[in-house]
Amino acid sequence: MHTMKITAGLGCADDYIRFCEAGADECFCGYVSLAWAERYGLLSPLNRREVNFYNVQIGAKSELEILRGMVQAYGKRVHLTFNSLFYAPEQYPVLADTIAQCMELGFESFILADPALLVYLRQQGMDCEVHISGEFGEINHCAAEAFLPLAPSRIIFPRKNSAADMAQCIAYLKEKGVSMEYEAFALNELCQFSGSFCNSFHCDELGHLCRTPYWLGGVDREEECVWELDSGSGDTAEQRGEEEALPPLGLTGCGLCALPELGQAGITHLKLVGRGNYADCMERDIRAVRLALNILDDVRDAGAYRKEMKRRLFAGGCPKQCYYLGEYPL
Amino acid sequence: MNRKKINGAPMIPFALLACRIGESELRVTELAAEGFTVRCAGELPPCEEIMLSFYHSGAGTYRRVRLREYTIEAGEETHFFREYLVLTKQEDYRQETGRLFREYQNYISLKMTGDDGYLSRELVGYPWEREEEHFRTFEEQKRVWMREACEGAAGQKFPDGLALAVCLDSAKWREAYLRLDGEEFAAAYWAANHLSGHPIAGHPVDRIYVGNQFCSHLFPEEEEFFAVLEKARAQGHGVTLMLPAAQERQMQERVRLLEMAAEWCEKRGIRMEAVVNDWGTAWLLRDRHSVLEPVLGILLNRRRKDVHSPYKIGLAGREAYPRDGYGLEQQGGFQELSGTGLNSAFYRTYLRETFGIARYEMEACGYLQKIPEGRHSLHLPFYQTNTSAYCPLYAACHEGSRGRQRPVFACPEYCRTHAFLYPSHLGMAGRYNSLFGYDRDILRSLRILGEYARAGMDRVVIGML
Repeated sequence: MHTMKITAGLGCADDYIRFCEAGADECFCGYVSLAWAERYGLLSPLNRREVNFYNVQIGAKSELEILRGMVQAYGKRVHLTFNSLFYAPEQYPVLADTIAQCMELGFESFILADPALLVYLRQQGMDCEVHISGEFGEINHCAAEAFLPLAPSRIIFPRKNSAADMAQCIAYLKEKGVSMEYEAFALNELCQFSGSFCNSFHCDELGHLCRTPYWLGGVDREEECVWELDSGSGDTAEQRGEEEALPPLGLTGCGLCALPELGQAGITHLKLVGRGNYADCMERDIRAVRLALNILDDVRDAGAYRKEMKRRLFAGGCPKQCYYLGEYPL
Repeated sequence: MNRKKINGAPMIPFALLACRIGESELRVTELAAEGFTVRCAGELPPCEEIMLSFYHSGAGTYRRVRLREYTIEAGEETHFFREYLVLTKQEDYRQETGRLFREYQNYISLKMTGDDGYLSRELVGYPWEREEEHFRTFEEQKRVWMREACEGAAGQKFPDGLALAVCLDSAKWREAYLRLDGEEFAAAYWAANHLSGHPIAGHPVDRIYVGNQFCSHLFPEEEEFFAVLEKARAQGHGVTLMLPAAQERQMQERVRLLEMAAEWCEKRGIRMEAVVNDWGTAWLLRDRHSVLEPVLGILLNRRRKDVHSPYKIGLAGREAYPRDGYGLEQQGGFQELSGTGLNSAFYRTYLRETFGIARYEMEACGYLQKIPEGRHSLHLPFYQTNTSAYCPLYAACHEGSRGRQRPVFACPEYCRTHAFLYPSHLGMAGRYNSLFGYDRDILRSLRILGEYARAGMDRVVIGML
């Protein structure tokens, strides 16, 4: 029986039941209150999804209450993301207060990307469960060790970490007797740059810097410039305006070929990104990851797994947007 | 339960429209001109006042509408929530609802075109039509920008109280440093970077930065690295080591490098700065503070940096560098971007006590920042906006697609010959594994450096990519 669990991005409370029934073991979502949106929303977003025109966050406390009821009924946990890379000094007490309110409602685990926020919460004596976000910074075993005193319960490895790197880091911490969960990206939204090193806007009215048209040219010698426009990743399906047919599985990023290596590395949770994606897409994606895990259960050999998984999930060919390119034979 | 149907738009995003009843924030689940529905887990709180907040995307603010005349009907009840229908004939509600529908519809239509630049033109006047214009080479754009900087700074003076450092962040500059002595190197560096006519070129170089904060493949080989250290010592230059973020597989190598650097310092009785860009390296340094002083690197000192700032709602039209500098208390706009966790004493204390970090590397990034207490360095004129742990340039040159990234073990340094060029008006460039913006004001107006010097910055670091 496989041990890796699926953690799925949730854009609104209404999708929770559907995602659970599709096979998600847990969900994560953002929570941005109206008070925050009114005071800081424009220039200091509470988390990385700073758009207003999409349902990418839980936005009202009453929605959290509704979600709590669902979590109690279905028993699949929901982690709340507070994953801006930094905050302004006056915002830390506001965030601590908001997190305390969420805890009162029964939400106990939070995904943080700003080390200062983690430090602040612990200094305030808040004992919530903390997941170190994939956007916290580069994670190597020394970085993980440095933050152990602040008691994180899960490390989410950043995108662009190899399974071998994760394995080495996990092995080191296990040897130290550290009890921790480990999460890796498995599907959707592979960015061309690293989230923890990305300081640009992700707002409604402007394109992302990573998606601005560019030319591959010379440093000091004029060459024929090759024009490129990244249209593959960055936005959610809804943001790309795809309404009708579902886009192909893995179009914006896929790590399903690497599941055997991730499992062997000690990964406990697979991240299925897509807060705010169409619920139909997310449901399809959750079912796909669940099927891949089931295949992995049945076919232990990595090569045979990849062959069978591709036959079942990518019969028409895969989009080749690989999270773990070069780590296994294609 | 039967209730009146309003046939409204379902699930308008909460960030566009929210409802407050008493102390409770509620989601509007259906919106129409004659009313709306909200839902909550239990009973609707006692209803003294209903307040709706409508988002105005053009201004980036909310407009509140207080409902005075309304009726409420209990609606559908599910296992998890109960809906309530609020009906009103209030004119300001109808107006705001109509406006919100139009804005929402407009946004969705623009998004459906699939062109971000066009959408930005329609929403904020972004010059989409200029996206086709770009320089022919990276050097050409640098030449044009530096000429403007020199013209702008003519007759100005490099502020007192600031030391000057230059980055040897690639083989090209390291080789020049090893080949040329003192003023000869400085003259060659300013000339190669089109800054010979700038007041900054008249200031002696006090320090060199060796390595690269963003790309691990641009760190020098052992022999060259120590040759540069020796040369700097002979020239009387201070040295700051720039260490890029280390991935797990690079940690052994990182430990070895730090051991060698520490030994070199110990033998010579020198303490050297080491700029760290991952917490693991900072942690490794904790036993070596007597010879290697950890400094917070650019990738760990995070803030909002984007060449689109002049078009961003809330920033457009605002003074990025106020004429009265720190004397002017701005509200909103760039003021909101000016501080980060480093401006909080609790975090500075944590960094000092846990990692021994008291000095921070900052960047001129197009607006005036609040300088944290202490003595820090300001990098200019380029600022990092995006970095990839794998290399987009390698992927573009080797795989034929910037998105086909993978770990690179033997790098042929495509960045010696290639760069990503961007629309000229944006003032940005793609070098090695990162994107950089260009601060057009910082070299043109040395008054800004004077502001920073007064606020606690004691060093300017020139990095020309």
